[in-house]
Amino acid sequence: MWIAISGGLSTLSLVIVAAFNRAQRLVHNLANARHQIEVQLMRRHELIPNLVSLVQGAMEQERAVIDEIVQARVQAVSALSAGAGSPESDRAEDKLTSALRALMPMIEAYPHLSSLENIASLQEEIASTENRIAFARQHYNDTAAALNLAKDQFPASFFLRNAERAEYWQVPEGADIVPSARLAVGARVA
Amino acid sequence: MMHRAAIGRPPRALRREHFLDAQRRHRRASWWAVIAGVPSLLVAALPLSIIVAPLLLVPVIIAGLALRAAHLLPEAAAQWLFEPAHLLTDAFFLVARGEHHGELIAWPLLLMVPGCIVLLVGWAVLLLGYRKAWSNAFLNELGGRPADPAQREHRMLLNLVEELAVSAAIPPPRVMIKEDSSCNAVAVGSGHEDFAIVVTSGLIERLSRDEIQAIVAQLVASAGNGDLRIASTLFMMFSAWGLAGLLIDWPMSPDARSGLAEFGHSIWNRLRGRADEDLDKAAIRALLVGTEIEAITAQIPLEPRYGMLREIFLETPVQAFVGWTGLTYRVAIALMTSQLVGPRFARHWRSRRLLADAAAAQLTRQPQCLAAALGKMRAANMVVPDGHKVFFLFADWSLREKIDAAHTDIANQMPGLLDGADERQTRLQRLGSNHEFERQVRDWAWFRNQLRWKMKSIAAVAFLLPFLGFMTALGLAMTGGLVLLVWVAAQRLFGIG
Repeated sequence: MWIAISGGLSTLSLVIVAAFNRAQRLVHNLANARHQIEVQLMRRHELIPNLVSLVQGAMEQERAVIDEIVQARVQAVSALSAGAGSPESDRAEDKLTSALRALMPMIEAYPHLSSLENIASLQEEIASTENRIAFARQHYNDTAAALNLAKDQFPASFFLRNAERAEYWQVPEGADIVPSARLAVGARVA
Repeated sequence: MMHRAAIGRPPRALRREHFLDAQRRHRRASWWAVIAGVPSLLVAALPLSIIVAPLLLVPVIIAGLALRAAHLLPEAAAQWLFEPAHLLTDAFFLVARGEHHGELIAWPLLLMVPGCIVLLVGWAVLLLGYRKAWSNAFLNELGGRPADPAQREHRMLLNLVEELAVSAAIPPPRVMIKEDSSCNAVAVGSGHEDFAIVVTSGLIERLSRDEIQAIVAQLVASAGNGDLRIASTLFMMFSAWGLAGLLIDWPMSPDARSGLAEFGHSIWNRLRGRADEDLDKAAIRALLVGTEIEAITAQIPLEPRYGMLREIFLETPVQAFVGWTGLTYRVAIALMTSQLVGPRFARHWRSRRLLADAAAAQLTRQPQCLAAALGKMRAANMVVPDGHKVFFLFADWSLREKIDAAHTDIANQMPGLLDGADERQTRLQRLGSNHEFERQVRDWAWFRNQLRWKMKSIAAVAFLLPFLGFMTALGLAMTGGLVLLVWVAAQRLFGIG
């Protein structure tokens, strides 16, 4: 009988430890996912000055668009200090995305510019960075869903009772619904 | 009035399944397959132990006799050491006379334990030290060069791999390009933290960016789910079997001796902290050769270094014994892998494949891209040169590839792995990110496959049990005969025992 009791207690303690570890892992994964978004946003911020310096000489007529990109980048960098996912940061990043999306087709209209190897590679890098931001947001939402689900499930809910319910990343109000599947993985699904 | 045929039937509602539900279901299925597969591994190790154990016990007994003759062995230790020999010789005659004693129960344990210990220790050493060497050995065999960021296509490939690494929250893998017209990709490595993705140039040319990303997502998901660790663990187990095979062939085969020397050299370098990657890879290759049936032919005939009398009265019986032992050992491996381990592993791997597909759908949110990519790959040539040893790690493999019956590698002993290839595309088309939590209905083809699997398993066990009995009897007879020979010789020549 003592063997059965000790076996049962051992099993129960293993279950409790596993649930506690799972809860901690979910909390840390969520924080990591949020920081991963910031990393990708910063990568985009660093690519934009290269792009601007390459195109501004040849695209004097599009000065307004270039200035808008520069200004949007400055606002996005300062808003990122409030943390990725904050309303100010999301609005600033969305504004930057719109400005970039306006510039890219204009580059195609300058054949001598779009044929340059470094312009093409920079376009690929920026497009890839947009995808990475979308994937990072998608991963963040998946992690948030897992955490919120664990909060509602026993026994992890006991260890997560003090943790706040994770907010999903959502498309800011007034933002464009992006049609392309590649760039819109993190956008709100209709 | 319009004819009904012109109107057509209303489209059937597509039965969808959430990809997280699909992942949960396939993960459960793979666990059940592992639970069913572990006993098959243990059963497969037993006849090997029965063959390996005598060859371990006999040198120990001979060494003990020599120490006793030199009065270097305490009496208590000698009694403890020679008790098994007494047991074996007495039990042999007891069985011959039809008498049975309780000590006979110790016989199987006596034969199984040393071999199991050797195999388990060998497996542990290989797992701890040679996972990476194994994966590097296969990467070398596949060939390929690292992707060049300066080339636009390679840069695109590197970018999409890094995008998926962000989505899966794992370190980005190495990317290699194999210049070949075949259309395929594979992930090779020791785990999700250290693996490489090899993509053929044919795949890059034929598929769109999204389709390439879907294929790579399937490989990244597979690595993230732990498939590479499972594959490397099983390969290390078969390398341990190969090590035992080399130990058996060591007296007679120069190739076995050189293989063991390479392995010993590799271990020694590691212990001194000077691991040599090339030597490690050569050691792994030598161990895997130890399981192949072709290796047994390399040890016959022995080079004529000795006189004819010695050859007839000493070399030939020993050679015959060792050769026969080696042959039965390898036949046992071939039968275990094809009848026991192979089918269990195939079923397990099928579940892991479907799990990776569902996880890839979660990563990209585009399961249709993966289905389309698989369709394009099947229409093209999927067979990658030098890829057959790890064909189950590829995104997909051609059904037209014939499995060479002479090869006893585990990679070629997985009947049924490629069944239902179209089923995979159908399941992908049913995956979606909407929230209809419908349970997937099993169709008749899937049920029929399951029934076929069960019948095959029953037939395999029905065939295997008599063979196991024969192998056990053969091993026991060989052991008893050899120990009896040595014991009688020691008694007659030295008056010991």
